[in-house]
Parts: sequence; C-alpha cells; structure tokens
Amino acid sequence: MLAVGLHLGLSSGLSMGGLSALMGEKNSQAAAATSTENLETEALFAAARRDADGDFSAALFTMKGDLRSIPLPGRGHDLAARPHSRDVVVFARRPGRFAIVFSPNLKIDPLLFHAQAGRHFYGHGVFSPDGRLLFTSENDYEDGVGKIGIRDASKGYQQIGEFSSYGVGPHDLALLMDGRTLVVANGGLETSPTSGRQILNLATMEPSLVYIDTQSGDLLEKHVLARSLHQLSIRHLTIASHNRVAFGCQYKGAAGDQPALVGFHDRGSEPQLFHAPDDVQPALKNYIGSVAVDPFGDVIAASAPRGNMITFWRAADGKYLGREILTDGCGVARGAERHGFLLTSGHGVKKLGQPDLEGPADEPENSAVKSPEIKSDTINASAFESQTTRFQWDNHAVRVR
Amino acid sequence: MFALFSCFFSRYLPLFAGLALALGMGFGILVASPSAQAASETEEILSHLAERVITGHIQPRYKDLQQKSSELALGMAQFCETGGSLHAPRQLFTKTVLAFAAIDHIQFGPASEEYRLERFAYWPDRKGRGLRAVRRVLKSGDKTVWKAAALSQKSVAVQGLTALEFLLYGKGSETLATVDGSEANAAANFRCRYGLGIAQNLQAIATELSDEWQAGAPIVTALLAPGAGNKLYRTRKEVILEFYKVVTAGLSRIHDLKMSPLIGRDAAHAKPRRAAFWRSGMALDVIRQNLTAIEDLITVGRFRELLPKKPIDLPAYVDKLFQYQYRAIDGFKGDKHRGDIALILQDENGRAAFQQLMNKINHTAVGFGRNLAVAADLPMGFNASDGD
Repeated sequence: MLAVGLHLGLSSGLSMGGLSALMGEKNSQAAAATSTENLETEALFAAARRDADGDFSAALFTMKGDLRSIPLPGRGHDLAARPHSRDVVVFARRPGRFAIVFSPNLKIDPLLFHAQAGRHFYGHGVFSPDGRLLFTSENDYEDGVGKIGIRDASKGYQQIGEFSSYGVGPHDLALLMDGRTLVVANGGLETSPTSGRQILNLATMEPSLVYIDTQSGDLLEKHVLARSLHQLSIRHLTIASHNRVAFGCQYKGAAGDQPALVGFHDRGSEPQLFHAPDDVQPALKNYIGSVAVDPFGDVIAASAPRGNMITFWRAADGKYLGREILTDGCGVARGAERHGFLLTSGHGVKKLGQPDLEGPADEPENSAVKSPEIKSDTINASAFESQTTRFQWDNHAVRVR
Repeated sequence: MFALFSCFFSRYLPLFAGLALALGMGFGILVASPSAQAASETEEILSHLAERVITGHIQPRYKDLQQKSSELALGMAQFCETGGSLHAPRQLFTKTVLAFAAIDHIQFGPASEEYRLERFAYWPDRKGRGLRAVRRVLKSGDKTVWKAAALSQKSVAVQGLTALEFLLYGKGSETLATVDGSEANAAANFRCRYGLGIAQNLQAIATELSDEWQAGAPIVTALLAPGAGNKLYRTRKEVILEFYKVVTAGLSRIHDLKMSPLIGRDAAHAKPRRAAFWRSGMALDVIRQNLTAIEDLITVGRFRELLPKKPIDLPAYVDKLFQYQYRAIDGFKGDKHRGDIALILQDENGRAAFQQLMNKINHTAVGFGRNLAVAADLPMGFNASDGD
C-alpha cells in the first residue's frame, strides 16, 4: 500500500505509521484472533460498527471473532473488497468524506483518503473486476448532482476522474457481470454536509436506476419509477443470476401508503416491484436497509431494520420466500452456503446460515412447478449460527472471502 | 430485546457523564432502577400520552393555523380590493408564519400527505428554484394562480408561504402600495391577486390539516388504538416513538437546517439568506417559535416527568436548557443585532453566541433524546432510528 494522501492534498501528508498512531489502532484483539489458525479458512466478512463507548470501527471478522479491526473517525457505512487483493475499503456514511483501506495484514497500516473538495461520499463503492479501479457514489453538493468518483487503487487510491451518476443522491452501486457496466441506485435525495443528514428535496425527488458504461461514462439506460412513486427512494442493490438487478427501497411519502419496496430489473425491461404478503408488508415500515444475494445468485435478502426482520425473495420471479426475525437487523451479506447469508444487527447479533425458505428458491412459478402456499406468519425454523457481540453492527456487511 | 438495549445504554453512562462534566452540566444517561411507584407513574403517563398530545397540542395548533390563514386570506382580499398600507397584509403574513412554525414539527400524518408541508412552505430552497418559479409566474401573467384550486395543482414552490413572502417583501413588493383593483394597474394587481390565491390555498391546506386531525380521523384513530390490525402502529411503543421522534428530530431540524447552513467557516462565508423566512426578517422568530412548540409538546406529553430527578434533576435541567435558548434568541434582538440574522453572523460575538445556541439545541436533542429513550424504554435501534 502506498503512502497516505497521495492525491488532492487532502490528508496532509501523514506518514503510514503516523496514521496508525493517530487512529489509535487497537491490535491486541486482532493479534489474538490471527493466532487462531482456522480463521484463515472460514468465511470472512467486513462491516462497520459502534462499540459501547460510542467509538466507531470497521472490522474483518469471521463467526469466531475479529481478524482485524480499525478505528474510524466517524460512522462508517458500506465496504468494498478489492479483487485479487486483501484490501477492504470502508466508506464514511453520508455526508461523510473519509474512506479507509485496510487488510488482515497487521503490518500494513490503514490508508486514509477523502472525497475531493465539494464532494461527499454516500457510503458505497465497488471495484472493477481486476481490482484496479474503485468507483464510489458521491455528491457534488454545491450543484446537488450525483457523481461517480473513480480512483486508481494501484496508485494509492488516487482519484483519476469522475462521471455523472445521471441523477440526484447516488447510493449503492454494482458492476454487472461484464465487469464494465455500472448500475447505480440514484436515491433521489439531496443532502449537504452543512445540513447534516437532513433531506433537502422531498417534494422534487426523482429516484432512478441507471446503467453507465464505466469506460466512457456514458448513460446506457435510465429508469424512473412511476410519478406516483417518486418518493420511493431506490437505495440499495445487488446482482443476482443472469445479471438481474435486485433493489431495495425506502419510502419517504405518507406512512399509510406502504408501496412495494423490493424490486428487480433486467436490462431492456421495466423495473418490477413486489409486495410482501399483506401481514408482512406493513411491518417493513416502508424501509429496506440493505440487500444481498446468496452464493448461487438465487435468493435475495432484503433487511427491514424498522420491522426487525430480514426478508427473502426469489430472484427469478420476485416471489417472497419468508423472513427471519432479527431486532434492528440491517446488515446482510452473501453467506457460505447455497441460500446462505450473514445477518447482522444493531443489537450486537451476527448470524450465519440459511433461512428456511417457504418455497423453492431457484424455480420460478409456472404451471409445472408450483410453490407451496406461503404462510408468512410462520416463523422460520431456520438454520443460523448466532452470536451476540459487544458491537452495534452498522447498516451493511460484505463477504470478503 | 429491551434488556439488551438497556445494556447498551447503561454502557454509555461513562461517556455521557464525561460529556456532561465537560459541559459543566448534567446530561449523562441517568438510569435509576425504577421503584414500583415510579413504574406505575410511567405507565400512567404513557397510557394517555397520545390522547393528551392530540387534544392538547396538535389539534389546537392546527386550528390556530387554520384561523390565521383564514384571516390572511380575508386580509389579502380586502387589500387587493382597496389597497392601502402594506403593513396590514404583512402583519397577517407574519402571524400565519408563526402559526405554521408552531406546528411544522409534526411532519408525519396528514402533513406528510399530498405534499402539504412542502406546499405550505417550500423550504429549504438552496438553489433558488422557488424564487425562479415565482418570478416566472409573475412574468407569465397566468391568472389561474388567482384561484386556490388551480394553484394547488401547480409546483409546490409557487403556492405557499415562501412564495407569498417574496410577493410581500421581495423585489417589486413596493408596487403593491399602488394596488387599487383597477385595470390600469395590471402588474401590481396581478401580484396582489396571486398573493390572495396563495393565501386562500394556505387556508385550504390548513383546513384539511385541522379536519384530518379531528376525532375519528384515520390518523387519530391509528394513534389512539395501536394493535395488530393497525397498519401504522402495532404497539403503544410505536406511538410513543412517533412523538418522541417529533421532539428529537424537530430539535435536530432546527440545528441542522435552520442554523448550521448559515454560519459558514467565518463571517465572510456566512450565508444568512439560507435562513427560513429571512426576507421578512423572521428567521429568529421562527426558530424561537419552533423551540417553544417543541417544549410545549414535551410539557403536554409529560415527557419531562419520565426523566429521573436524581442524582441530577433532569426535568429542571431541560427547563434550563430551553430558558437559555429563549434568552439567547431574545438577546439577539437588542440594539447591536436588532434580530437581523445577517448582522449576527457578521459580528464575532454574534457568531459565538449563535454557535453556542446551536450547541445547546443539539445538546438538548441528543441528551434529552437518549435519556427519554431509556426512561420510556424505547427501542432506539442503531440502524432503525437513523439508517441510510
């Protein structure tokens, strides 16, 4: 990893060791963890979190414990794992401006970089498949327009460019399997560092799902939901089998409206939104916090922290497959097995395993294959290994290995 | 679940105790083991909280908003007919703004439907979209804006208080002094009739808001009878949480939206025109009214009584914080600053006092919020309460 603050002069030339000292990294727990041999072979995840003292950190962890944790200067949000590398980048939540690169290797100091002047991060990023380029969702807050920042990870995460997100408030983003087409959830919400986390444009918001060619920055496709749903903010997304984009929304309109919050999209078609069963939909509280896909690309997990549950959906046809109750559960990541997920909560819980899906996960409904009737009031007899930690796990978690 | 939640907060005790010491104040998390008597008192307070807040706080305030906007509409109609001093319509306007600032902390329910909040006052408007839209209307001479029903279907930016503020105080408002209802004075009369259309639109929105908070209305029924079949509130705790959020989010909104964007890194970078209702000189009045309204909700909801009195008398401390805030705002009205937000932000002492006021409001939001969450056993989830 290269020296800190190579670009834009934003991190004032701190040395690597200086940053580590400044950040007061606590290595004792991590050092103890690394001595455990089998941590190297288990599924490895990363997430941001807060401890009981109110301090923010990010960690690489397995179900057994931390492999490494680093303190954060503020609340983190999502992370991105760099392909062909052990680097993981944690991003500040909006409207923060920091991002920190770290890895399980304790000998490598974390590297801090910032959004350039006039930009703040929205908390999400994704690497190109070769691990060289990092794309981040950002806000040009003077003009109130979304940007995608491009950084060269091989050059100390130096910013090498940016392009438009073709909408306001870009949030989550992902690359399709061609490794070139970027899909971005433009949440439609405008924020500014000077106004904290307050939303500035509820009346005029226009969320969209856009596809961008990362080589040219050109807009390939843009979808805006029906006018009646303009306050349905598309916030998080993931890529399921066959390049199907699964997305989760948050509704900013009247609480009684309760529109569908989980959607799917194939390029060249219109986005489709799917309701949960009648007794589950209101309990989602108009808020999906995070989405993830299972290792086979068949099942989508969509968390509803305000409803204290994680819902599961069949990627092939958008069918609701069941839920797992988890108080303040928000983080979801690809798990270790088929239909498996990691789930994390703000109350310290992390769970790894498989939900008991009420219906086949990988076969769309047709006349030949009938799903069993879903009884949404049945709490799943799921197969999750659960642990309660001393951390409040933040909105997102990612599978690193 | 709540045992774990409490566990988190009891761990915060050292942090907030430290913060309170640093501030020379007592706003740590003070969790006392509740006695049986205290528990029954808490139950008694919580059991009728929604009813008290609806009848003692929300309904009368929406009623007052309806009243003030009706008077504004009548006053504008008369002014456009006969002309006269601008003082009269401006006075009615300021009364309506204050009535709105007394209830705009209620951002859920009917206010969040049909874009009523945004239509009533399109703000914040960082890029001046509203102003441009109003100017376009004035230039167009489109008489449909004279009728509230038609106006209500137009852009949210051209149909509310901020648009009317520009008509009454902005560039060209002086022409209203010549209003006489005659054809010869077309520009001034158009501006006046447009203002009347806005006033009547405000009256209509305020009437809807007031009506939709009357006994038997869906939101009232939902708040008073949480349960499994209730789509909005399944438990009483969710109802309490709704009002709790009004207090904490309301205070945060004053800090984050009405104050923080104005101050800039120094006097040269201050942005007084980011203030709500700066054009009519009401920025501070609106903030004070917001604070008074939130404090009234705390009082009517009897939220203070839920807070512990030992080892520190937190109810009294909350009083002191609000009193400090009122004194600070009133202090800006002296000869030096004359209540002018631009003058305050140009002067180092003014800036320091403004910053201190912001800190106190933030301190109230955070400290009161956290203590109340513990006292009322509210599930302040890390992700659920402020996710992304």
